[in-house]
Amino acid sequence: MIATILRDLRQPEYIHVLINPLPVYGLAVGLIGLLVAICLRSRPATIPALVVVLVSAGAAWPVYEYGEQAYNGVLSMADEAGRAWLAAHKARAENLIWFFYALAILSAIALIVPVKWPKSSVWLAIAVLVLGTISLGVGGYISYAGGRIRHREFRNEPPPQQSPAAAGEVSPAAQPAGSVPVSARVTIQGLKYSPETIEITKGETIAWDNKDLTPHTVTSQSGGEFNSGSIEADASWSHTFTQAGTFPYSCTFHPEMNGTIVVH
Amino acid sequence: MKTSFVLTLVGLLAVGVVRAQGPAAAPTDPQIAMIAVTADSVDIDAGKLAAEKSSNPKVKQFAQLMVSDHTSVNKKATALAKKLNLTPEESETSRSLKSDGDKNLEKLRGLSGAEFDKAYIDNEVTYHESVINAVTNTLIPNTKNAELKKLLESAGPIFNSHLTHAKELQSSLR
Repeated sequence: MIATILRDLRQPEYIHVLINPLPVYGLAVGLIGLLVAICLRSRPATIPALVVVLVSAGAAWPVYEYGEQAYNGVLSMADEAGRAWLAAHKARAENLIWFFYALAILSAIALIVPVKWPKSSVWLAIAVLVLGTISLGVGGYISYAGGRIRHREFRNEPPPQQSPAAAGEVSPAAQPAGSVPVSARVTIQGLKYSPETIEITKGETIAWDNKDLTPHTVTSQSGGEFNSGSIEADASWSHTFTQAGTFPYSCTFHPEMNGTIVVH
Repeated sequence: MKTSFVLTLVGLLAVGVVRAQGPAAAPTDPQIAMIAVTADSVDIDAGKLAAEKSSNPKVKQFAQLMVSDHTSVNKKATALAKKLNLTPEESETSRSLKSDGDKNLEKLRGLSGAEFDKAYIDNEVTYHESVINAVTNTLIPNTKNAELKKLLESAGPIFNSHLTHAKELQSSLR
């Protein structure tokens, strides 16, 4: 039994789903408490409500991190509509997660500052209530797409269409090749990137053409710089490099595939 | 029990391959297409079961990769068969692949936990070895159509990658 629980806890998608109600429902409960405390003009009642808001907003961070780790696993299990919802879920989370971080910081300030300046308590609590309400809406918007990735029964509308500009780095595999001038092309074939190493100058764009039979990814090994998501067979993906440096990358599905981009 | 099953599988596949290798029974292109599609489907079915049933994250991830890679290969093979106006045809080899696959599924359904993971991965190692052997030594040399031959040749590195991955998992499960 314990072994089963421990095994589940090693799965990022499991932890993501386990804790993702916190920034939504946890936050909602905290905000109700805060509203009551403000109406009562009670600092002692404000403190626990702010703590609940702080913990709930702060929980967005592990939810986000485990969500990122779960991306490839969920991607490979999702159907076509599910993949579109997954791309939307990821894009929304990456663009809007800052509301939660800002809320966590603001609620910490609202807890600490009134210790020295008691008069600021009510105004800070009101600010937390306003930002918290916006964040709650943002959380609902992110999780709306998340719930539709695997739950086909919730899909009462067609999946979101992504414009290349809105898709950004999130689902660029869907981006048509050639929409930006491409300086160099890399062919993916026989589980190899060819050429394996490519040198470009800052601001140039590289396109990867998947000529293999299976999906592949172009994912920077150090993490954040670039991640194509799944590039289906016969599809292309391109990325513009704006920073100089050496970027080793690999395929998350087939880790033996390696390549390097040198940006001068 | 497990060993005997794997041996039977290898045996049956070998019989199919040996028969196919005989000069009188060299597989035709429609039969080769069917063997390729069946070999993929068998692994997709096992992968789907393992993705749902296994609780080991590494095994689950491997199973998901098998489903997505083999589905993609199958899509290509089916599209090519359509383009070449080639109707896949059953043969002794494709039939034994299917029935062995079904037996494997039945066996896996009766297992759980670490026992399931081990049986699934052990079979994946043996299965990929047999398929690589059959593709390299029987299917590719007998394929007449150049495009079909090219497709089988491109599948080689993918199956080898799966085999390496499966072997790594096999030793980590010991």
